[in-house]
Amino acid sequence: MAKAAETLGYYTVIEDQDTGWTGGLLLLNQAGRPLEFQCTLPVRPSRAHEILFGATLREHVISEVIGKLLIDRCRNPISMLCCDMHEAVALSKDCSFPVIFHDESQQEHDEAFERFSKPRNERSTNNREPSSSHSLPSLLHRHRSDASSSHAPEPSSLMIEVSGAPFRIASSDRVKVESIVAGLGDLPDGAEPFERIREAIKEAQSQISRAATSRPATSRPASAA
Amino acid sequence: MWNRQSGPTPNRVTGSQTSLRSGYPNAIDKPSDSGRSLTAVLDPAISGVLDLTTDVMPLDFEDLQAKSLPIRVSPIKTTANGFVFPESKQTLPPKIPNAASKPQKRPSIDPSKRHRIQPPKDIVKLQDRLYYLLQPPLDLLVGSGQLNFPFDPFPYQLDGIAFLFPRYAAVLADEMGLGKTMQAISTIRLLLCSGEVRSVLLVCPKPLVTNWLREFSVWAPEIPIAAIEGNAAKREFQWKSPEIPVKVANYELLMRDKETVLDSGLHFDLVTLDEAQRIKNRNSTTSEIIRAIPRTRSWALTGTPVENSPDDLVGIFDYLSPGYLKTGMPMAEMANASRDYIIRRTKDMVMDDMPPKLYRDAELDLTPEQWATYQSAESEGVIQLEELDQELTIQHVFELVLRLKQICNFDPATGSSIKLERLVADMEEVAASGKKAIVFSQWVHSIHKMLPALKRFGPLEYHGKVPHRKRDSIIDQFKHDPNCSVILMSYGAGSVGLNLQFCEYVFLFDRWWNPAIEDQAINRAHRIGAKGAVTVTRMLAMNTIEQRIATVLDQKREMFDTLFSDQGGPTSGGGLTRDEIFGLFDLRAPGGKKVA
Repeated sequence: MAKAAETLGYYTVIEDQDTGWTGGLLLLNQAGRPLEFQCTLPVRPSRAHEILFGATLREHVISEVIGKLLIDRCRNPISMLCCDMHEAVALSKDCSFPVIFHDESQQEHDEAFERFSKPRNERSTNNREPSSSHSLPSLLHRHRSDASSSHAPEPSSLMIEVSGAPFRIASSDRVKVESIVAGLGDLPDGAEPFERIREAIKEAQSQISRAATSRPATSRPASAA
Repeated sequence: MWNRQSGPTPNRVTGSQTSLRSGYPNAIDKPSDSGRSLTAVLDPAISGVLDLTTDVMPLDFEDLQAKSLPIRVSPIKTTANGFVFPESKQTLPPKIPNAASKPQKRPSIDPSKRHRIQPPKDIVKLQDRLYYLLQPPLDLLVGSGQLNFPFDPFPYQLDGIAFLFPRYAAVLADEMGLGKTMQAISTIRLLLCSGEVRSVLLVCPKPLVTNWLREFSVWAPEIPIAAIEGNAAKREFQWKSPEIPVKVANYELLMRDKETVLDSGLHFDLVTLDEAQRIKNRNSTTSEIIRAIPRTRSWALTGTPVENSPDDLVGIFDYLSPGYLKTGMPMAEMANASRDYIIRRTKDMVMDDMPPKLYRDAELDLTPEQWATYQSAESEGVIQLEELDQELTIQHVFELVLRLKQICNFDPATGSSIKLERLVADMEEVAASGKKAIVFSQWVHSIHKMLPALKRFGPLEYHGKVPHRKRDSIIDQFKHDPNCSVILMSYGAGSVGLNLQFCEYVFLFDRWWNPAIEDQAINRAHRIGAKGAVTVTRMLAMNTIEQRIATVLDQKREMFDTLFSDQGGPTSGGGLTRDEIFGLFDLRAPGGKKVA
């Protein structure tokens, strides 16, 4: 039986003071063409939520509320999820696929991975990656703690390049991620799809306020899920 | 800070600290049955427990009972909506052999500068709009090698493709030479490959049919295309052949094959009109047939969507979207309504590396000799025209206009010319700075009269009376001979097909009827590769027919400006109409209205 084509999910959330938090998930094929798009209505946490959740509110909204819902609603299987907020890395604890973080500044967001970096099926066993995977070419560099000593513990995260864009991945996901990335030869830009999601969310939000135009709609090739 | 003490200790209430046992409302004070009590000491400044003391020991903790205070907050919830896009719509065309575009890493660019497909305003369903918005930007597809062209397209051409792709009604109105054909072909190619269209009809003037076939072989070599031609039986077969997705027909042929096209059940997913100004007259048979072709998408390509009046645009829109524009609509309203359907770019707008084009109007008063001759000729000419009454034709008026324009160039009796005086003065400066100039005139006769006065600038001639075999050597001499500072050209011979971008000065000794022809002439020097700013001097004899013509042409440019104000300034409008030519002398055209 032929292996199903890999799909690439992109997830981001727009935070707006007026409308609230709106999330979008775009599923692409290996060439970067859209397969599916899911987006939420804006979420507006109440004052009580802000008090109760405190500093954890952002992560709760991004991962528990919006992210989970969008992944659940996605009709097509996701091979890998790319996000551009480190809070979304928390999704990885409940997902069977790798969640990788677009670390544009390449700063340290390691702690997010510290919490969720263990392999999904081995989170309690603390297994290590096979050493043969170290030579894979798409690795940009390893986490600083790895550079100092050959006996140092496995870093929780690594930087990897996805179609020209830097992403931070959990070390435990490296083999799987690199296998998926290797099949993305036609993806033009690894980070650009986030722009598409933002454009699409803006479009969806503007639809609400847009006055009905005078001309009738014409039918287009997209079917509501 | 909780502080348990083992011995009897008095309350410690100092400063702002207050024992809540002494009657304060926020005191957490729990007297026991044995007279023992637990006292919390609060600091009002920080609203927190500062100290806690027991005044009676031992403290019986069993007496303390935890109490829960339920806080009812509903979980944060939202809902999601989504769309699935069919896989069949995602095919890209195959790679063109020997294509220039190679996969390359693109630098990160401002997202707002991406060449993204934007849905038009008349698409209102959210899923339809998102289908286009969520496509990868064209520049990235080109950069990654997924979308292939034989030559690297200019950014504005990608914008043109992104504009056309989602539109069911569109006018591509780029200035001549910016590649309307390439943009249309590339978009058709994408639509065919994505399965959005399966049958395309291209309609163009007959001389351009072979040009379209040739361009398709360059930009979309994998797309089968055929020109509809031959005898009636062959044409009918071609019209009905489903194996050919792109058919090319000329306007005249549509008249002959009207029944086949309109009544045999044909349907086209896209009909594209080249030189779409052909259908500006809504009452013409051509326009009626074109409008009746069964189709889903309608595109119009034209460099001059408006030639004489805003109604020209109404004619084109009657094909695109019948009834959307109406004759007599205020221009501002028309411009606003049509904005989302039209894309127009000029060279000035899109060629960043092009030097500026500087216009300088030389408004000249005729010499006394010229003025006397001119006044006499005009007054006598108008009288003669009026005497013709019902016999008056546009040809009579036209002859008078030409005669007067020639006097504005040179006084026929004395040869006196204010324009030549000015030209010589300007040429002194041009030659002294080592630059070269092109002088355009409508008449070879005028060019001959200029020659003696310009002799010291090494003038060369290039007009209809110069044999074709000598023309290349003249251009070559002008380019390389430092003693030749000026070339004198007629509009007819020199306005097209020449690359004279080494010239930095253009003189329009007299004005042509149609600004488009003037622009073509000027663009001999102002074209890709020009090294410096091009100064264009337009000579105009004041208070003469030239000024009146210029006023009419300026009004046309203004009209164009109003209609396409956000699409960039026009470089060409149309020529003078019959009524406008009569109006130059305040005459009424027979059977027509009087035009002041």
